[in-house]
Amino acid sequence: MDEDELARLAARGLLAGAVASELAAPLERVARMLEAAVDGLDRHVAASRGPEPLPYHAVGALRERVADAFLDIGRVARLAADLASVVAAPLDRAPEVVDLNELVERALSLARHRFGADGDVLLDLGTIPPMELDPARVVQVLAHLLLDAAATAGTVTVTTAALPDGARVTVAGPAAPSTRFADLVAGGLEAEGARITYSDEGGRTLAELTLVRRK
Amino acid sequence: MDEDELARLAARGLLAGAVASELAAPLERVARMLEAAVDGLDRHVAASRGPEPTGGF
Repeated sequence: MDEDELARLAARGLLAGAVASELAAPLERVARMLEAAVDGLDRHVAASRGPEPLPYHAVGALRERVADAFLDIGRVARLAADLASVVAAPLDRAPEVVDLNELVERALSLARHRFGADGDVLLDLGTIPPMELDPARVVQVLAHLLLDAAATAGTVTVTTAALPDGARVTVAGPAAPSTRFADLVAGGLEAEGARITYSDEGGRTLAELTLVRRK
Repeated sequence: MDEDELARLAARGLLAGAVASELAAPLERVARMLEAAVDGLDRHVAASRGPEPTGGF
């Protein structure tokens, strides 16, 4: 394993670690809710006089528990799928035609847990023609930029815009990016003309990922 | 970050890749099962006669 491959795997590990900790609490809540639902059904069956319909109120309460479990596990399932699309993709995945805005939303899904009660994220997604990219790597770069930007309280703005020869994603926030992992993952994209630049504007830090359309 | 820490993070990334791909499909199946259960209970409530004495769950 060469240094570049090691570094990219390390960046995956950092991202996976942050997201995985978000999976644990909701999964535990789902388990407790389902446990309570099963316990309630057991007690109903034990107290039941015979084959009769479930009482109205009991079914309603049970329905709420199961519905809560469904909503929680649905969110976890989406997060797990987004995580898998990044950390389980081959390191040298062949580029494919993708919607850049959809990649931005997947990256936000992976980083949203970092935006606490004092933080918010605004999306301003422009119209961008489909591009040929390595989706896993682009999502991972964007996820690291968002995780950095969300490190302190405040609003983070994500803007996408079409360029004559490609597209640009700008992440603007109050926190100075650590840059290490986004740069590290983006390194493999440099040969294709992609680059990340950082600047300050009105007290906010701007990280711009420029992607060049393949000829 | 030293080489050892980088290598440990890389190992975590490798493991996460394997685990994450195992998580997504089963969780999606559970979500579909719960969706069906909620739908069944909704239809039961809609067809039930109304409030009756209950001990609750």
